[in-house]
Amino acid sequence: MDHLESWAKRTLIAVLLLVAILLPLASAFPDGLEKVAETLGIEEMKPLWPAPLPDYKLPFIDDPYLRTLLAGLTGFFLVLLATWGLGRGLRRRRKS
Amino acid sequence: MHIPDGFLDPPVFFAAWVLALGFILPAFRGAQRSLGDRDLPLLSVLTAGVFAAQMLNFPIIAGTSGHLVGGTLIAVFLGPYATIFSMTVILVIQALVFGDGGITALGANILNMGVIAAGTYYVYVGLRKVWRGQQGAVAAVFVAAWLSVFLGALACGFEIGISSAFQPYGGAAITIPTMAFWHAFIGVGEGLTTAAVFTYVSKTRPDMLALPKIGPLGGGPPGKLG
Repeated sequence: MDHLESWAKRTLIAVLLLVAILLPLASAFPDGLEKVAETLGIEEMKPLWPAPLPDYKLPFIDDPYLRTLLAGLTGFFLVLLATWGLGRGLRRRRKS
Repeated sequence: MHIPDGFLDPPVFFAAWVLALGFILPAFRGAQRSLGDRDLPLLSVLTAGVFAAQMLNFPIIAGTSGHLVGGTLIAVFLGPYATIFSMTVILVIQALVFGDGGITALGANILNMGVIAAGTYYVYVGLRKVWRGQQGAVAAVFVAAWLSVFLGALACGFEIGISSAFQPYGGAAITIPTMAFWHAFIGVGEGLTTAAVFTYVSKTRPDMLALPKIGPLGGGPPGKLG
């Protein structure tokens, strides 16, 4: 069995490819909660926080596939770095 | 299932924040104590993978869709505190960067999709004591993952149902059953996806199932299938 790291890397690349392939097929239907609100006729208000990439779209790209894919990749690496950085930060504080 | 701003009354989202923090703080302390050189990269990869998978909405019935939440999946490999840690990171980034889920409702969203999913870890552990072997483990994963979505939806239905925006429409008496209805279907997608990933990992990297689990009740379930 090879190293965990290389297995994780290969799996990660496979997951990213899978997402890139499946993204155009992703359903645009409302999700369960949105459906409940929609059925009852409740409108969503504007979010209080001005998120830079609302709705998983990069603002300066027109192609609907590319802008969502790139927003997804941005989020993917943000989450990867945040989890890793937070975990490292916590562990460093443990030692001191 | 990400609740936006405006759906929850201040007392509701404040109470949800307090309750969520009651789980987030011990989970972060647990991660600080137990995360090792081996499981931190794995946790990071799993968390990022779950974020990506959450972007893929699958259609269910009647013009409605759902997507993976992934909390049970993380718990099965790294334990319930790892789930709360990961889902907190994901939900904070989704709210701050992508406007998915309101910042006021963040505590409630962490409760519904992180803490409750973490709790289903114990359903998985309990079921595996009864259902033996690889098939039993896969069935236990399916049930726990389905429950994570279903119970999260009940909690979400309760939170919005007691808030004023939903009062003119019947309140919790309407929101809890309708959330339960849609998420009974969405949960099947969660169960199938989680069971598929679990099967893939237990076939290719059975050692990953034996990693130490981070959680309040100490050691995890038997690592070996059997």
